[in-house]
Amino acid sequence: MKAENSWFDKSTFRTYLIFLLSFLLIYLDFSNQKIIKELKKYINDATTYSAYIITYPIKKLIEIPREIKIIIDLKDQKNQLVLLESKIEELQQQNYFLKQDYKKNQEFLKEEEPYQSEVIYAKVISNIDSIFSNSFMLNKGSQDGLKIGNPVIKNNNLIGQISEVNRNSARGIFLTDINSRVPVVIGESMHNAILVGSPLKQSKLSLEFLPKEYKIQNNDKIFTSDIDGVLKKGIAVGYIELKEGSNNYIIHLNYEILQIDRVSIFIN
Amino acid sequence: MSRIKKNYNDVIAFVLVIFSIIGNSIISKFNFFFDVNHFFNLQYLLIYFFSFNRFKYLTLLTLFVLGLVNDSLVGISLGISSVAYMLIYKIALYQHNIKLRSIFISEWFACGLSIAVAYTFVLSTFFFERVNFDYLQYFYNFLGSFITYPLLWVILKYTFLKIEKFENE
Repeated sequence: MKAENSWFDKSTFRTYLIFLLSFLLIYLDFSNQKIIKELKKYINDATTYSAYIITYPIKKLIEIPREIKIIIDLKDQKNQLVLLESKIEELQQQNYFLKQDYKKNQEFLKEEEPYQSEVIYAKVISNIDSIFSNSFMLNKGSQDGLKIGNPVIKNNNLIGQISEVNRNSARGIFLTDINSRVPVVIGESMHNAILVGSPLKQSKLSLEFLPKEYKIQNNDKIFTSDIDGVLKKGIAVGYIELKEGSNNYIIHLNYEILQIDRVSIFIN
Repeated sequence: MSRIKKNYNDVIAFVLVIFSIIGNSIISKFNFFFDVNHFFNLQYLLIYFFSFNRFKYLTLLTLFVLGLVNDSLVGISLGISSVAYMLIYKIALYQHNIKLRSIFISEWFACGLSIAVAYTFVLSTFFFERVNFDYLQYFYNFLGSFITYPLLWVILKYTFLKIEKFENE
């Protein structure tokens, strides 16, 4: 039998070799080998920035109609003035609600020292929403002081946590990711629970370890808890909407995660 | 489609596969498309289609590298996607070699089988690595991919035949 036709010819050998290399990589990555860990940091940086550069023109092209629309809208100054006036009213209303919220938070933290965290501002360079993960990449990494577990904040609301740190980039997982677990307190009674990402739920979120005696109220607010020692207490997360006529509920996040472009990260 | 193709077809096929891997952040710009990735796996379908139809640039080594890129972007252990892609490639190639005449049903079922094998491997690895996953989500994704394949097949066949015609003229 010729060597080319045998079960161990050149092409089959190459196939075995590539499969073997893949399995070896999986094993090394799983066993947290230092070499692969360092190598992965460079690979992650390279792929993240390459993907960002390649997709940048397409993203900008997609945004053109939206930007044209904004320019057309701005031309109409009268409408703009009306818009501004209504915005002032809205802001005044928001201010009122913020005052109310502030009062509540003051009560919430009356026995706690207000936390002072050093904040890093970062740009979201890509959103990854696949069956494997629901995450985002940031343009700051270990060189800027980011660490795994740091909370990612947008408009004073928690949207996720840092899950992987490279040299010049970092990965954060959204609260809706299946691997996201965040200790929270709910409602005025401040019951503890764990906010878990559940991709198949309507809101992609669910609450675990809720005390049996706790009855969910409509519009109960959710804040982070410092029970695990990783997150700070009192960062706003979202609120609960109770479905009429049933015990089912939907969790709404305070911030639409699709819209994020820049975020803050608490690093202390 | 003939085995030896002109460059355009191969290049477009290759770009499509790359785009399906790195274009996630673009797709997520559209609210409507945001959940598309959860409904079906475009990468697996494209890799199966192009491997079955023997497009030039989709080789084992290319898929290995593309798999590493995907793993790095998605944030899972390096090598998982490479093995999944290569399994799909091997099954598609086997199906291509054993077919006596072009029957779409057999191609379709082999596609389903290849995706099932790939997901079985991915989920087994997740299980051993203790990564959380919802098997129902993957099952729905598998069903979605299986159902979507005929539609994708029609679109791709039509598009690539048009391109081929254009090249020949």
